[in-house]
Amino acid sequence: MKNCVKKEELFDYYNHSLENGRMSEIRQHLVNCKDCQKKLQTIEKNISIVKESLRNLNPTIECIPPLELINNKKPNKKKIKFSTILSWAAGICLIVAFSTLMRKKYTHNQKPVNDYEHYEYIPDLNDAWKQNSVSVTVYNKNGKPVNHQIIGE
Amino acid sequence: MSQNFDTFVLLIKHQHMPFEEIYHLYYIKIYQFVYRISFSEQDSEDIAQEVFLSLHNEIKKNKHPINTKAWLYRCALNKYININKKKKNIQLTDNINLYEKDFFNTIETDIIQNEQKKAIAKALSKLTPKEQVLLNLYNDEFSYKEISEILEIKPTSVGKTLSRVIEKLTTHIKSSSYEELCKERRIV
Repeated sequence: MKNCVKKEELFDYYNHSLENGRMSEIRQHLVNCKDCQKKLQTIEKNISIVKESLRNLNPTIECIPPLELINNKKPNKKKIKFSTILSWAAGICLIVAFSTLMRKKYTHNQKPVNDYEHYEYIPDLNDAWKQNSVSVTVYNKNGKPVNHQIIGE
Repeated sequence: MSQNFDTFVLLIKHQHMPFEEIYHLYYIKIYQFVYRISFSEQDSEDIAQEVFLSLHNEIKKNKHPINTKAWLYRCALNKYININKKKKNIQLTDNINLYEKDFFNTIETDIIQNEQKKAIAKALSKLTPKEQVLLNLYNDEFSYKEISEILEIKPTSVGKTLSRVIEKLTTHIKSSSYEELCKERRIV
C-alpha cells in the first residue's frame, strides 16, 4: 500500500516519540491497515526479545558496597609508563657516563694544548718500525724539549 | 551514622535528592549497564565506584549535573572507553563466566543459563560498540533526547538506528541456538 507507515516511524510510534498529530494519524491508519498492524506486532515482539535477552545478561548483585568505601577511595592518579621511566634512566646514565669519561681525559693537572707548537717526527718511520721503536720529542714554545718518549720498545 | 556520612548528605539543586539516595537508586543500574557492555565483573564494579566518586566530587565543587541519570551513564561510558583503550584485543564472549553458579539452581539450569548468556553475547558482539551502547541505553528506558545527549548524535537519527539495530540483533539471536534454548525453558 502506498500510504503505509515505514518501519522506523512505527518504531517511533511504539515509543511515543512522534508529534501528537502524526501519532493520531498513524493510530487511525492502523485501525484499517492489517499490514501495518503486523509490522507493529513484529516490532513489539523484537523489542520484547531484545529486552528479555538483555535482562538475562544482567549479573546478580548480592549487595551494594557501603558508601564509606567510595568515600575512602582515592581517585586514580595518572600512572607513568614504564617505557618513559626507562628512557629517562637511559638519558641520565648517558650524561653521567659522558661526564666521567671527559673527566678522565682532561684532568686539572694537564697542560693546555697550545703549549705544544711543533713535534719532531723521525723521517724514516719504516726503519724505526723495523727496529720496533719510535721516539717522539715534544718541544715548548721557547724551543726547549718538554717531553721525550720512545714508543714500542 | 558516622562523620563520613555527613559529607555525603549533599543536596542536588535540581532534583533535591541526597547523594546517598542517588547512590542506592542508580548503583545497580550503572553496574549492570557497564557489565552488559564489558562482560567483566571487576571492570563494572570499578567503573561504577569511580562514577559515584566523581559525582561526589562534582557535588562538592557545587557543579550539580542537571540530569543526574544521564550524567552518570555518560560518565560510566567515558570511563569504560578509557579502560577499553588499554585492552584492545579482548573479545566480548571470552569474559563471560561459564561457571557462574546460583545456589537455588540445579547444575543443568546453570549450564542452560550460561549457554544463553554466551549466545546473547555472541549476537551482541556482531554489533558495533556504539550500537551496543545505544541498545543498552534504550533498554534502561532513556528518551531519544537523552540518548542523543549521551552518545552525542542527532535526536532524529536515534529512532532510525535503534529500529535497525533491534532488527539486526533479533536476527542474530534467532540464528543462534538461543531461541531453541528459550523454547525449552518457555521464556519466549
